[in-house]
Amino acid sequence: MDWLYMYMPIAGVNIFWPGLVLIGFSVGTIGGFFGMGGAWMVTPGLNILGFPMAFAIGTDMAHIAGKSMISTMRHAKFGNVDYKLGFIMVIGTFIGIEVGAQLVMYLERLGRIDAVVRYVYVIFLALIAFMVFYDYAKAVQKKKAGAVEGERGTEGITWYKAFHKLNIPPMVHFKTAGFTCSAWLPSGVSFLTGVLAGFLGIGGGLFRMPALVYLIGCPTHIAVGTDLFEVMISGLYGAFTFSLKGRIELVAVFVMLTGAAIGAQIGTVATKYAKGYGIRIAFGIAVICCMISIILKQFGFSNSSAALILTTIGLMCVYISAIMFKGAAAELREKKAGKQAGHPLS
Amino acid sequence: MRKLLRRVLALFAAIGASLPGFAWASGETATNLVVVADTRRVSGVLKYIANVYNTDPWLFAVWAVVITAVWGAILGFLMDFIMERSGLDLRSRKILEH
Repeated sequence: MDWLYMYMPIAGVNIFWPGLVLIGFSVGTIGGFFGMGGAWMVTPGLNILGFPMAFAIGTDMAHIAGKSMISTMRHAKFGNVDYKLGFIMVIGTFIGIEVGAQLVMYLERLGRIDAVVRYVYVIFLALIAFMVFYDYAKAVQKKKAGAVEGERGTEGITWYKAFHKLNIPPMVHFKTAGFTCSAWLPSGVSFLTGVLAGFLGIGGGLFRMPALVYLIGCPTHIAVGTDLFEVMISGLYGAFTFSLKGRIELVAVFVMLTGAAIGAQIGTVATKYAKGYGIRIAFGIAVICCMISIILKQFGFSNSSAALILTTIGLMCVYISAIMFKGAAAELREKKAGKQAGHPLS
Repeated sequence: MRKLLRRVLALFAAIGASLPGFAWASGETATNLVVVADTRRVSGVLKYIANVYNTDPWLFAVWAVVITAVWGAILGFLMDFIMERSGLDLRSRKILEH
């Protein structure tokens, strides 16, 4: 069974390559659906497969850049990408990622990087999960009370409305996302999420997607597409900076990207058939499972941790694929019926 | 609910503030880690990549970004070509939050 293992010359380890393809495919599916790189699964996943943590982070960065490029191309065709918003956020993201990456190198010298990265992961995952479910509970409560707010329907958390009132020039209108705010709002949010991205070795989508929805005020679908555009750019920059520091395994990147190319199509097209709050809730559940798996690993239950994260990834892939294939089948049936009736649907 | 939110945030802030302490308490500081790619067990393109990694970090970083972007773009266009033939409308969608 030696052929199932591939030698990674830089990390100096033999890796089970079908595991890399599977990680790529799963993360492509999940990332394309939630609008993020999916590094929160890849980094522990690579670590489980046998990569040292610092290598897992760097390799992850390059992989999510390539994968997000594929997903962004698809989302752009749906009109889910607000390029103006994306470009404004790029600068803050770049500076933030560099600050975060320097912090990683500093902690590596201290010799406790694995533990610290896991602690920070857990804290922020808990915070995001809390926010997502609090938002949903509040939205349901408001809906029951009969409150309907604006064209987006009933919303739970509306912090972005307060931030939009900040009248600090320059004020910018984002046509695709459909709102106007101070340019400092997306810049500041992208800097903070960039610091976390660089530190945790992720594209930042895990934090930026909810931040785009709750703090900046994007509709969920636009947040997903714009975030992937951001992840692509920040991932490329992250790949550069981690390569310069020698913490990247290029061979693994290409193997994972091959699987991710297929998964990204499934995940991205599935957003067409999903509702905004459905995406948010699934996102929250995935975040909780990821958090529990990291806690298990920290306390020495590595096998349970691996089992939980693989189960989560598997179930999420099935759920997203089901949405995609069910939606696609319904659309094709509708088209066929339209043609038979003599009214072809475009 | 606001009180609960404040308490949760305070808890996170406290844990966050204690992180540097965890790191410092870990023991002696280590020097910069230097990793050398093993060029003896690989050949062809892999050997070239491993050699560049060992000798020129800047060139390696540029190659990493360029090759990742090019490979991503190739796969993206290829998948786009295949998906366009599925018969699905891949150019429009409705935004529904609920």
